[in-house]
Amino acid sequence: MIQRRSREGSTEPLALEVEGLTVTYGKEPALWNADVRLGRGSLAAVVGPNGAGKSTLLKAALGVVPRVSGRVRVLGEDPARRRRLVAYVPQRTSVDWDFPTTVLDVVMMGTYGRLGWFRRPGREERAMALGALEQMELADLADRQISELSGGQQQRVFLARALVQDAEVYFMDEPFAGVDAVTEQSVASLMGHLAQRGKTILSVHHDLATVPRYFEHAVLLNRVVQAVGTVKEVFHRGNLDRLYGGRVPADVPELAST
Amino acid sequence: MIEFWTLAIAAVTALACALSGTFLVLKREALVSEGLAHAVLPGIVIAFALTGNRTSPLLLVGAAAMGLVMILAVQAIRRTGVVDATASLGVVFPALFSVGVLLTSLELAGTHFHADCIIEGNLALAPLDRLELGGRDLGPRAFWSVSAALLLVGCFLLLLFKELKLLTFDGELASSLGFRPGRVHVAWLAVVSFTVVASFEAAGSILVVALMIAPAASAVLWVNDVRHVLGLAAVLALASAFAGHHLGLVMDIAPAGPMATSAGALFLVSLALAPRGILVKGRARRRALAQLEVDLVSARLKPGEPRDCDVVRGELGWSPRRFGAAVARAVSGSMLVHDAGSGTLSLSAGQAEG
Amino acid sequence: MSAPWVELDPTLVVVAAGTTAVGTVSGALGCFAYLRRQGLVGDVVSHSALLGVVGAFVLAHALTGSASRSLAVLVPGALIAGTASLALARSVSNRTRLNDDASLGVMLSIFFGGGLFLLRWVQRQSPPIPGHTGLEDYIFGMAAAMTRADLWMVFSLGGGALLLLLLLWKELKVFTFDPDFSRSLGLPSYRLDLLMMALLVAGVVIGIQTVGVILMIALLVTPAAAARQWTSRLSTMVLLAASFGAAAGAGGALLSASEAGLPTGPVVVLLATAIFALSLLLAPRRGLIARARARRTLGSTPPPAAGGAA
Repeated sequence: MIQRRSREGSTEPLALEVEGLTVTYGKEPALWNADVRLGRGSLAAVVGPNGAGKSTLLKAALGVVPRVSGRVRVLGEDPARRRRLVAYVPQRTSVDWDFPTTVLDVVMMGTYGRLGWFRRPGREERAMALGALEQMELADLADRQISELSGGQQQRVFLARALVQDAEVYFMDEPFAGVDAVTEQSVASLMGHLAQRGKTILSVHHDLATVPRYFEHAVLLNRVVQAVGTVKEVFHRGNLDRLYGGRVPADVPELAST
Repeated sequence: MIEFWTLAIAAVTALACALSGTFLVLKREALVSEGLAHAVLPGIVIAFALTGNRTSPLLLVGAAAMGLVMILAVQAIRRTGVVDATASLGVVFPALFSVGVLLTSLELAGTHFHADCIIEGNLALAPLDRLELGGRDLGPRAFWSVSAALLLVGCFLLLLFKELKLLTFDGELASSLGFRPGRVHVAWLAVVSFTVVASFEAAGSILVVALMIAPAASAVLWVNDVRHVLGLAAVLALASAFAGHHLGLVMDIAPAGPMATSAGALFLVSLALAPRGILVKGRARRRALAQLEVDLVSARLKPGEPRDCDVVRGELGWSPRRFGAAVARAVSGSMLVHDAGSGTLSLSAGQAEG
Repeated sequence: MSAPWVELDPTLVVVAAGTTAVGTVSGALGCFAYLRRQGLVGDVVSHSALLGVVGAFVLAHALTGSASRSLAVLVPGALIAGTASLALARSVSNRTRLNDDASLGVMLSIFFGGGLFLLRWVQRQSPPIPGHTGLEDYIFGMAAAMTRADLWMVFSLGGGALLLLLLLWKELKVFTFDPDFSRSLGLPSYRLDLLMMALLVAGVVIGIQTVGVILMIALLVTPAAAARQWTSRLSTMVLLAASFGAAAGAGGALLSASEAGLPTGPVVVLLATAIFALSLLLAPRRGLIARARARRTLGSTPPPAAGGAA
């Protein structure tokens, strides 16, 4: 077992290090030979057309979908050993919001990883969940049945659950999709706040126009990684035209035409 | 002659069930047949108790109406938005079946309906129950009722094949083109319900379900086109009916179980051998994966830059064995050059240019 | 009809205790299948169990020479057949173009058809295998045939299943609600899925002697669907479904004992269906009456912007 590590001088491990990642569900690979490296404190958007493997990148980085090839390191370790330092915010529409449970209950699920098998959440976990709800301005909805929430409130419940996990790295799948303006602001400020505290965020993002406003880094993905870097470096007209095959979906006024 | 009629009834039942079942299987509604096959029981018992006359076509129509009752009840419950479709079906059909069993046990309908017949039908007795019109013997009643069902299914398929296909593969498109998927759908399910009822006495609930689902599910593994699926399902259903009938004769037991088992066995054979079965697909997938692995090793290399084997293997996260096998394949396909001395890999010259 | 409570005969006590226990366990376990929208999976499991029951009977006879219809022999058979049919259906729909419904339906045909096949064959054997006549009862259920030993089997298997449910409550809950998130926590989704399957099969297996393989589905789905209408908490839902199942089971046993010739299974199912119908109508908030009233009081005012998800 010879591990030849010829990394550049930094001693601190990267927040996320993905090499040669390939995932296939059927015939065509959903993700091909992807390399992504993110330093700690990065605030990165994953951008690309539909079916580009954006959610797959997150799930493979979390180690929850089987990969054909590739090595994933979260803070220098296998993701299975970094579960407690990682929080995942799935797509809001991926769950049944008619499930019989309350807002507080969903947020407390964020403590399940720390609790381990068999142990039930107690007073301490409850207090943490309430604190996270407070932070997402949902405290008065704690005992609400989740089917009574608006789309934006559902999204904030998911974010509160991630906050409770008190992680170092956050994977978010379209946290801005279909939310109201208030929620959009609160999600954006939460992300900025977390990044300032040195947390790392990798978030699938659909709305190209807001990438420069909300994110510092971008991963341009269309089954293969086209570019990774700061928004300034990689998020320009030329790259996007290539990414979307010349059909950049929305008008993106803030793009420099370089 | 009795043997002939037994086979004729079995064959027509098999055809009617297989043809009507195909669209259920394609439309993700296969278990609706399970629901219908149980829900029509009270209809049969009540209609029989009311008419007291087994030759009456009213019996068939009345019982088929009970199938529609189930479908409408399931739709009504689902539309409340508080219970999903699967669960609604799971609530409604056992309830209707329970009513049927209770009515049977209360002997409202006389002693005719024995518990076994509900599940397995009574193919052996079916040819003895004759249809007479004006004193003339027209053959077994069961033959005429399943033939009527087959005719109905055939007409529906001929006249509304396009609509049914559209409805099956794209419900939304169908409604935007003005085909009223709701009505076509309900009409089709009424035809299916009629088929279930007509087949019920000879085939019983298990065989109706087996003949509706298994042949169509097998056919889907062999062919693509809906017409071909229909044709193959019909052939497979006939084969199951004949094989099961023969098995039943040999072992001297009711043929429903053997027929259902034959249909199941044909499915297992299809699963193993058909182009879209597990084995063939598995082999294709393994071959594709092997190719993918070769491509992946190449993708980690740049032209003219040999790289250390262990580094490449580390990036791919593979076991030495898997990596070795992939490299061996790539080298034998002259995609890569492996330098054993330095332990490095590089793209072969031809690859580098391409 | 005139039998007062004090004169309850011991057989009826055993039967009533059995149906009540079956209703409780299947009601509770059915909730998770209901919430995962796998209501009909239970139907396939129960039908498939017939092959296991008859197969175990035949195997026990071939191995020991004596025929045993005790649940201790038949239950493992039913567990194996039920699980095998589910696992096969899962792998067919994962690996071919067939959808879940179709592959479940095919497995139902194979296992139930095969079970009937084997059952009829057993019944044709000469000299007859002693005890084979009781096998027939598994199709429609025969609560009256329940013995004290059977009752212990129901209690222990059902109690074990409920205990597991209680121990792994939060894991099963988060896995049911948000499988992707639970995987990100490191919960083994494959094993939890297997556990859910096993719990469902256990719930089915202890019930088939009472209500039969055909009607078993109603004991899993109907109490859960009824309970869901009354509450917005999983724990309350499970407790309610268990109570509804218990009430239907007990009521069914007593009713059918009071009227000769009334089969227990259908009575239990119809009682559960009545509870469902009442819940659909009367439940607060989700009930049809409550919603109609809410709509009327709302009048022509537009619905509130928030809470649009329904």
